[in-house]
Amino acid sequence: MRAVWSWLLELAELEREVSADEGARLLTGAGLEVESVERLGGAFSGVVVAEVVAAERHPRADRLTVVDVIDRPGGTATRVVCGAPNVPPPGGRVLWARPGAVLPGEGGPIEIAKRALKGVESAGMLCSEKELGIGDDAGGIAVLVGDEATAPLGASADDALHLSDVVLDVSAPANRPDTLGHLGLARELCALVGGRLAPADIDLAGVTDTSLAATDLVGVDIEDPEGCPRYVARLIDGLRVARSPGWMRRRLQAVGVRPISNLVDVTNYVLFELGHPLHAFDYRRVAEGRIRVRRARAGERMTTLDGQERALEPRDLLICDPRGPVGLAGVMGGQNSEVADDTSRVLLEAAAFDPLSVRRTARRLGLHSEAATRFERGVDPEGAERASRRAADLLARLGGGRVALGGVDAYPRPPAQGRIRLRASRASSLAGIPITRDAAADVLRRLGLEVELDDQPGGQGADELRVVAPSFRPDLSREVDLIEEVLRLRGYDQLPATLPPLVEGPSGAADRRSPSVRRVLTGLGWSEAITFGFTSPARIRDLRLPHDDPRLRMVELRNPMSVEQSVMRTSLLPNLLAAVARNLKYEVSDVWLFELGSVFHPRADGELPDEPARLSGIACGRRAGWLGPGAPADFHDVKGAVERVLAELAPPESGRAPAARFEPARDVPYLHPGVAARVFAADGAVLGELGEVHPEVRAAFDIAPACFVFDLDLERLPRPEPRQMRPVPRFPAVTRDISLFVAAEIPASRVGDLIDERRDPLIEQVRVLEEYRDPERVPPGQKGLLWSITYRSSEKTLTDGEVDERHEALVSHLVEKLAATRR
Amino acid sequence: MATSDLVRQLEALGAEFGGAVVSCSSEQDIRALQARYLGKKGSVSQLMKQMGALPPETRRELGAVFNRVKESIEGEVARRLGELGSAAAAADLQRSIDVTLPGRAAAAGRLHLLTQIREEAVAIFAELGFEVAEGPQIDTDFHCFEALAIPKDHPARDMQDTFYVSDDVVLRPHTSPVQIRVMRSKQPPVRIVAPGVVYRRDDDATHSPMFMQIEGLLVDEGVRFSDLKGVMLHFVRRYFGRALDIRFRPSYFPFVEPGAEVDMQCAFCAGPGSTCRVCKGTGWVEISGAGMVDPEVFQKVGYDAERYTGFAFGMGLERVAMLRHGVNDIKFFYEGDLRFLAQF
Repeated sequence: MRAVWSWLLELAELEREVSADEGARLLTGAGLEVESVERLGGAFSGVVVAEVVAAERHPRADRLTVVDVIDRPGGTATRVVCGAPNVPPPGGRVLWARPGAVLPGEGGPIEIAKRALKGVESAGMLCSEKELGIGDDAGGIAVLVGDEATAPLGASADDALHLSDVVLDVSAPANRPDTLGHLGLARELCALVGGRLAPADIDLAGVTDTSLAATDLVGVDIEDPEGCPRYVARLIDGLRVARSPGWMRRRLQAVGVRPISNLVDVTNYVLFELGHPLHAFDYRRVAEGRIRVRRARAGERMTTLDGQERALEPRDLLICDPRGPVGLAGVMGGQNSEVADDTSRVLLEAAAFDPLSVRRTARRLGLHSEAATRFERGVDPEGAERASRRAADLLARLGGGRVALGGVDAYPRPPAQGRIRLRASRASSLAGIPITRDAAADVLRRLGLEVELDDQPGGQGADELRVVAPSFRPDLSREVDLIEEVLRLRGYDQLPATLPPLVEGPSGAADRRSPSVRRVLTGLGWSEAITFGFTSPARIRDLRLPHDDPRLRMVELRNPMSVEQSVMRTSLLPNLLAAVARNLKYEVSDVWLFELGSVFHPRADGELPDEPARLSGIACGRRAGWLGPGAPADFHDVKGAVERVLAELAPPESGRAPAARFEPARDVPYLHPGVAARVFAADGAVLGELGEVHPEVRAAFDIAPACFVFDLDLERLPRPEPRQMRPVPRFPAVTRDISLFVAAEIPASRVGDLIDERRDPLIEQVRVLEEYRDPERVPPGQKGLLWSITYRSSEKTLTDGEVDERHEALVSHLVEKLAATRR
Repeated sequence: MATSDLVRQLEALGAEFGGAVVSCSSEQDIRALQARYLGKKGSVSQLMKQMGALPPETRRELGAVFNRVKESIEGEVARRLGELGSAAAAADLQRSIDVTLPGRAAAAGRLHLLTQIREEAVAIFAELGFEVAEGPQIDTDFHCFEALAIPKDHPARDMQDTFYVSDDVVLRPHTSPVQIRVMRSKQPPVRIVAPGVVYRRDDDATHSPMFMQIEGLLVDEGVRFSDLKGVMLHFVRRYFGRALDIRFRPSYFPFVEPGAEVDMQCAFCAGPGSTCRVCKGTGWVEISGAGMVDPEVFQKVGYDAERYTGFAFGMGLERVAMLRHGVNDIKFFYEGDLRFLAQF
C-alpha cells in the first residue's frame, strides 16, 4: 500500500520527531517492507502564492482579464494577463508563475517569460492545476480555499498545497490486513517509536439532522451471517456533489486513486485512512431503502460499476434491494445504484464480509479492487461503526449535507473475544534470548493490545500474561503469534547466532551413482545440462514413437504457461535435442551434453506419477582436435561413454568385457536402425539404448549434422560399492596377436565371447586392435579382425613356449568355430 | 711362434683397435669392431688359441698381456661410446619447437553450475549434521499446501502461482513438501536438507518456471530461533568464504512463526550508499525465507508442538549462484547453451 507520510503523522502522535526515511527503515525492520520512498512535490519552480488586488477586462480582448497581484503584504502590484474565466475578486489567492518560473509542459519543461498579450504586458501567468501538473482541472486557474488560502503570500506553491510529502510503498504481509490502512501503519509506528494513536475526531452530533431517523428510512436484512457478519448503514441527506478539497484530492492522488467527486472520494479516503472499505449508494436507487445481503441465485446477472454485465454464481455474496442485486458484496457496486451528479441522499455501507467469499468472487471475475483486496485478507467487523461515522462526518462536511439520526447496525456474528496465554519462559526458550513477562507485556501494549497480568502470589503470574485477542489483528490467536510480535518489535537483530548441538552422523549410505556418473562424463568431455521438467507433447511425438509407446502417455498440466511447457517429459531426449539445435544456431558446432533427471509417467488414478531418474547424453560435431579438427563423433563415442559409466559404477573383475552387453537394436524408433544398440545388464535387464539419431528426428528438431545419443535408466545402473584391491602383477605379461578373416556379418563380440568361454586363467586382457574391410586386403564377404591377447601368470614368468602353445590352441579354436582363415 | 712375437702381435692388435675405434660413429660399428677383435673368431681371440701349446709359465705371462690388451680394448669401447653419447646428447639439445602452438588435451566437460552449488551447499550443511532428503516433483496438494497451513483459498496461495495436474496434484512450488514427508515418516530429531527442482508460473530475468531450492529442517527438543540464525550465518560464511554478516527481517510464511527473511551483507560492494547493482545500494541482499516451524504444521504431522520446536529455511539455488557468479539472467541455467555451461 502507498502510505502518505504526513497522513501517518496525523494519526500517530510520536514521542519524538521521525523522518520518513527513518520511518521506512523502522517499518521494514518490523516486517512491513517499504519497497520505495518517493518524494512528492510539484514538477515546477518559481510558482508562488499571490493575492489579487485588482482585476478588469482586457481592453482589447473579451476573454482576457488583466489582473494585478501582489506576493507580499503591501507590496507593489504586478500586472498579469489571464485567460481563465474564474479570476477571483480582489482578496482571492491564486498561484502565480513569475517570469523565470518553469512549468511541466506536455513536451517538456517550459520557462515562463514576460510577454505582451494584445498590447498588455504580462509578467508571468496565473496557473491552473493542470498547468502545474498536479491535477486534471484545466477549466480555470487554481484558486486557494480553506487552509490552503491561509498560506502566506509569496510562499511556494509546493508549501501552500502541501505537495512536499513523502509516499512509502509498503508491502503488507498477507496476514496483516490491518496494515492496508494508514491507521494500522500508524499503530505500528507508535509501537516502534513510542507514541499514541490519534485517530481523527468525529463530531457527528454537529452534522446530524435529528428530524430524520435512519431506522425509518433504511432496513438491513442479513440472510447469510456467515458471509456478512456485520453491516452498518447510515443515511446522509442534502448532499451536493462537488469537487473534493485539494488536500483530499492530493492525498488520494498520492496513494494512487483518481479523485472523482466528494461522495466517491470520501469513501476512498476513509478506506485508505482506516483500511475499511465503504460503499455509497444513491438512496433513490435502492428500492425502499432496504438492503438484503444474500447469496446469488442460479442464473442471476448484474451490471457492475464498470459497465460490465456479470454472470453470477450461487456462491457470490450480493447486496440486494427488494428488486434485485445492487452490489457485489466487497468487490464492486452495481451500476444501477451508483451515485450520480444529482445524488443528494446517500446510503452509506460499512460492512464486513467473509474473506473467502470475496476472494472467490473477485478472482473469478478478475476484479481486484481496493475494497476486494482488503476484504479478501479480512476486514475487522469491529471497525465498521467507526468507519461509517468517519465517512458520514466527512460526507456531511464536504457535501454540505446532514446525517440522519442513528444508523442501522446488523451485527449477527460479533467475533469471540478470546484470551491468549503467553509464557515468558516459552518465549525465551523459543527465541534463544531471555524475555521477561514485563518486557513482553510492554511490547504488546505498545501495539495497542489489552494485556492482563496476574500478580497474585503463588500463581503463574511471574511467567504468564494474557492478551485479549484483538479484532483488528486476525493474525494473533496463539501464543507463538504473540512471541513473534515481541521478537519483531524488539528487533530480530537482537537475536544472537547460536548453533544447534552436534548430533550423530547420517545413518544410511548415500546413493553415489549420480556423482560418479557426473565425474566420469565430465572427464570424457561431456558437459552437464539441466533442462525443464516439462516439454511440449509435439517434441515427444517427434521421437517417432509408436502409438502404444508408454512415453506417449504423459502427465499434462492444467495451467501451463505455454504449449511448449504443457506436459511433463517422458524422455530427457527432446529437451537435449532442442539444446543441440540451440547451440548449433549459435554456431557452437561441437556439442557434448548429458543430463541426469527425472521423467514422469502417469499411474493409475489416485496415485502420484512415477518419477524414474534417467541418464541421457547427446554428441554432435567433433572430438577435441589438435592443430586441426578432431575426428567426427560417432557411435563409438557414445558407446565409450556408456562403457566408462558402467565400469565406474561396477568395475569389471578383470580387464575383460564390462558387465553389460551391447546388442544391435533395429527397433528403437528414434535411432538409425543400423547404428543402434540396446544395453543389457549381466542379469538381462535392459539398461537403455544408444545410437545415431534417426534422420527424421533430427529433421524435426532442425539439426543438420549427425548426432548420437544414449538414454539409460539410472535406477537400474549398479550402485558403486567401495572397490577392493586386486593384486598388482609381479610377473611380466606376454602379448600375442590374432589376425583373422571372418564372415563380414560376424560381430566382434562373438569372437570375444569365444575367447571368454575358454576361461583361460592366464588371459589377462583381450582387445580388438583393428577391423578392416577394404577389398584390396580382404576376400569378398569377409572382414579382417586383429586381436591382441595379453597372457600373464600371477605365480611365475611365462616362457615363450608356454604362451605359444596356449595361443596356438586359442587361434585354432577360433578358426574352427568361426570358419575363419588366418591371415 | 716365439713368445715375444705373440706379445708383440697382441699389443699391436690393441694399438690397432685404438686407431680403428676412433673412426666408428655408431654403437653398432663399435660393437662390430669389438667383435672382430674380442669375439670368438676375433683376431685377439685367435692369437690366444695358439697359447695352448706353450709351457705353463709362458702361458701365465701371455695371459697377463692378453688381459691387459682386452681391458684396453674394452676401455676404448667405453670411451668411444661415451664420446658418441655426449655428442648425441649435445646434438639433441639443439632441437627446439614452437612452444606457442596450443596444448593438446581431451575436451573439457563441465558440471552444471547448479550441480556444483547444490553439492557445495549440501556439504556445508552436512558439516552441521544435515542429511539429504528427497521427494517427488509432482506431489499432493496436502503435502504442498494443506499440511503447511495453507488451505485452499488462503491468500498465501497467491505467493506461489502453482502448476496443477489435477485438483489435488501439483508440481511442487517449493521443496517444503519434503519436510512434511520426512516428518510424517519419523519422530524427531529431524535434521535434513532437501535440494530439488520446483515449479512456479513465473517467467522473467529473475524467475524461471522451473528452478531449484534447497530446504532445511531441524526439529528437536529445545531448538531456538537463534539456532536458525547461527545455521544461516554458517552457510553464508562458508559459501562466500568471507566473514559476511546476515540479518533477519520479520516476514510472513504460513508454515513458520516467527517467520523471517534472511538478508546477507552484499558481497559485491562497500555497503549502503553505493551504486551496487546487486544490492541496489542497500548493502543487503535477500537470500532465504525462514522461521520456526508453525505449531499447526506439527499438528498436521503428528508432532507434539509443546515438546518439540524446530526451524525451517528455503533458498533459491539460482539466486545464490547468481549472487556469487554474477549471472544476470536465470534463463541461462536451463537452456543447455554451452556458451554458458562451459564457463563454470
